Amino acid sequence: MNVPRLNSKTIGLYLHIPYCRKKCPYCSFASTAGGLFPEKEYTESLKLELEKVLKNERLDKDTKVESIYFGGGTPSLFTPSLIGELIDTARSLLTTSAETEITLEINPDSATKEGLRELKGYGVNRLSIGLQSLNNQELKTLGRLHTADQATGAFKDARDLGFTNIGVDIISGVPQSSVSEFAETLDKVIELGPEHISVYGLTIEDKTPFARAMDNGSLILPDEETERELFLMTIERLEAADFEHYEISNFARPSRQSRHNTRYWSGGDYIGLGASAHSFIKGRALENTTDRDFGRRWWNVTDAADYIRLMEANSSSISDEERITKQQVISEAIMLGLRQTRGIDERAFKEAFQGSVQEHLVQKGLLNEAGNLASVKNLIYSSNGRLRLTKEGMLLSNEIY
Amino acid sequence: MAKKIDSSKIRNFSIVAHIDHGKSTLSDRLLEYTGALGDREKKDQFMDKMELEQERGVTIKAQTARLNYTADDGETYMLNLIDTPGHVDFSYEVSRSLSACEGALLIVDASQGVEAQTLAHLYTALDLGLEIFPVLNKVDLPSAEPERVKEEIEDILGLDTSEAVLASAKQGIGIKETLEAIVKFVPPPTGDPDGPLKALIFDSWYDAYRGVVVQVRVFEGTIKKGMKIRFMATGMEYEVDVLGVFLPNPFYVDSLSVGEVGFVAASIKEVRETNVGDTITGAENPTDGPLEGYKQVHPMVFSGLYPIDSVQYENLKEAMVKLRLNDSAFTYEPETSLALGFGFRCGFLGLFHMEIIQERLEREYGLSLITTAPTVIYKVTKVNGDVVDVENPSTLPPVQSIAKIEEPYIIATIHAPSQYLGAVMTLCEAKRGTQKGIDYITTERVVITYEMPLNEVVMDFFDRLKTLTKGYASLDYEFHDYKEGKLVKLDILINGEAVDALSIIVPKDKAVFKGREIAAKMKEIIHRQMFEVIIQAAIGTKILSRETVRALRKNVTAKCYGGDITRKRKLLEKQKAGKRRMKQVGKVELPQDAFLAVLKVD
Repeated sequence: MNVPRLNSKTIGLYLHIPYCRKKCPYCSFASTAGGLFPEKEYTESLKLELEKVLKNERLDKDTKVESIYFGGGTPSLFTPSLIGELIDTARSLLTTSAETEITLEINPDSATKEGLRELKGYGVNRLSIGLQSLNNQELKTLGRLHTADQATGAFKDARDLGFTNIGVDIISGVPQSSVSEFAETLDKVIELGPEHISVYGLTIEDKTPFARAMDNGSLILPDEETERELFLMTIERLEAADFEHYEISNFARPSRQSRHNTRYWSGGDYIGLGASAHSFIKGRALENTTDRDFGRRWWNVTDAADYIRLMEANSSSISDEERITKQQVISEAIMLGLRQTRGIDERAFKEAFQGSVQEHLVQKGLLNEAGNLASVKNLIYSSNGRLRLTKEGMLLSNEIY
Repeated sequence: MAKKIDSSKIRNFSIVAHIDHGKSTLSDRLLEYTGALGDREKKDQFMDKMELEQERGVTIKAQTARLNYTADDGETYMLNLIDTPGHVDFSYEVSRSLSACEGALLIVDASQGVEAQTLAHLYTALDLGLEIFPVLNKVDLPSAEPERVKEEIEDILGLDTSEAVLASAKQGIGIKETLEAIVKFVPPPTGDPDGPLKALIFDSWYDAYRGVVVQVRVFEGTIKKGMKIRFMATGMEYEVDVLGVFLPNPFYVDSLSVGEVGFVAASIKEVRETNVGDTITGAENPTDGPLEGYKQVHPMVFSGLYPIDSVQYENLKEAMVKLRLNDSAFTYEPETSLALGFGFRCGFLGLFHMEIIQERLEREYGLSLITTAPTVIYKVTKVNGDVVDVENPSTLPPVQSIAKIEEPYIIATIHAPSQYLGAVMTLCEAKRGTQKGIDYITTERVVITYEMPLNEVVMDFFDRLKTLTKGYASLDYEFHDYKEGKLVKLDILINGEAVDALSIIVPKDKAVFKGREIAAKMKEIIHRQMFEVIIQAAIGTKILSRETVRALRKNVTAKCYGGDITRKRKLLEKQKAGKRRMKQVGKVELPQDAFLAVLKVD
């Protein structure tokens, strides 16, 4: 799968909706809460940015959009008709099909049945529900505005409306919560029957209220052994329920992997629109030179007001960019490849980068000769021409790549 | 400049100051005022040349500058500024630089008052009979309290402040007054310009074009181009190729006479041949005796320097050859460690000197190094009567073949405000010191003399002393004698294997305590790895303590989406760069700090 056809470029499109009803205490994403978010102006800016980027990158109408993703923030707070306008804009400028995966993130407290119905009408065919937990105490600890009942309610509404591709996000390792409480949430989620489940171990990001609470000792994360147990149990239960563990934190029913996210992990092109959004365009073969361009990544200013101002002034919303070097491309290919359970295609890797994955790991000092470090605990293995991490390897993956 | 110089119009002076009190800025202002420094050269802090010196705010090599100043009396004076190195490790060099002067400016920050670091140099200057006069700097700051600070100088240092200059080097205030004070208070040099040559070497360095260049101060006679000279300590003779002075840029002259300060190049091949403190005389008409105060300096502290990556061994060797050209107190010889591979055992004047050398090697030569714990030279008498010098603990002969071990002792002289007497004594006793004397200079200040094992001083004595006395104590020390001690070798085992580079020699009665402390400290320093790391301290086969660094069980990033990729990659790159700074011993990664853990325990 995923063999790019000649003469046709495919992209993924990400649109960032940078506001929430309330900021969650663990979240470090670009999003503001409160105030009167200028939806209309923001929508116009997104449309304008899309036109601009397509022009700059010389992507014409033949460019195929394989996925559109509305992330946030809280896209379910956004007026559905504006989402519709944005989808229409993408359709008018690029090639879409019935196959195009159009995802929208929703929060149980802001998703209404009417709203979801409307969104479905505009072409949204996949929902990602920020469920986080089905335990009210955990939801409270996490500072979420919804209850477990609201969460299951939102899921059922979506199902009733005919959404056949629904993902849910849950958080493991919530402070003051037990392994069995988390297991209950997992079981209830399985019972709900989504097509996709993302399970994120709670991570404390700098400068968040949780980080401050950790510093003053009022927030205590589960210990390492508990986190391991949570991780391993998650895999066990979800696999038993026929979910495929396809990325460190992601599980899906057969062929229901997030196409949009899989693009990120496979080095595919994507364009991110809106405040703080990141874009990546792979390198193209350069004419008259043996050098290769390994691509560019750029990202927009974080502040939504700044973003709108810049777009309205017809100036650039880019905050910074980086030209990717060969070494960086290799690092990313290894990191992202090994995060996926299908691993790295060793032959394709060798063709793309000269030198095997193992050689690169050794060269970077990550493995000593003959891959000794990783073999300490049987962390990494090769089978059928693909290099993969074991479960233990995933747990220690930051030490490997 | 070729004109005959009247030595009554010469003033040789130095500047004594606490770090940050504005010595370099004032030096620059003096240079500017007298026109020695053109606008083009007005880079801040001209006098501290090495990048490292600028960063640390410490002068490592002596610098000089000749200033021509027409004073209010209408006469033109030649003022020679001799800047001294600024650390206890270089106290001998400092004393030689100071003895090239007749006077010194004492700079004191007008808000901070007298601080400790100045004191060691100040006492040296007083001992050498220099005329001292105070300059209160930074008087423009709102927090300046010149009257209070003057009182402090009188009380603590016993100096007359009635004619102290109030200055702000930054604002250019009091610069002229400072120059006038130099003319007025610093005595002119005396000596017979036609007598036999007597010139003091107070610094030397290697110059790629001229060979070794020495800085001298002429006390008697005249040194001329083409003249045959003799270095009295080594007996070596050379012919003077080039003479010059620093204005501060080099300016060549044909002769240097009584009272003058300048440089001499004479096709000298190695810095080793030019000892600071040595006297230069004429080979034809030598003086009858050298200047007082000469000492041969020897490295006192030894440690192993190893490249983290063994491919850098040759580069390290080349870098050391170059550094040695400029630093005769630094020595090195190849050694091999089972744990660290090929490296060098290096000798230094002290810990600070060691840090400077390591930093220069890393910075100027792009090397990544591991430094092992500093040690001294032990004299080991074997049962068969052989005596061996042991400067690397891992080479200590087996216990059964040792008849006795002797270690070097020093006489430590500590100046401190008397309120800290008790604390200083407690520290010295804890470091195996024997009290030799307590002398009150004033009711406020006391000089404490202890005989102590050098090994205790090379560790963290100086830092502790400073902490205990809030920085107000100064330390000076000189080698005294070798004395027998009950000493043992303490080994550190990592996952059951003794790591030779971690062995240290300790007093037997402190071994158990030290072993425990070091193992505990190392547990904090060694990061968690993918397997358990066991740290043990042992004497011979006897295990004294055991600590475990638990295996790392989980290190995984939960989320990694489009917007995270760059950030995550950068984080991982940073983590990897950190690992490259570690030495792999067996399969365990040890950071530099692990090798110096002994410095961090009591």
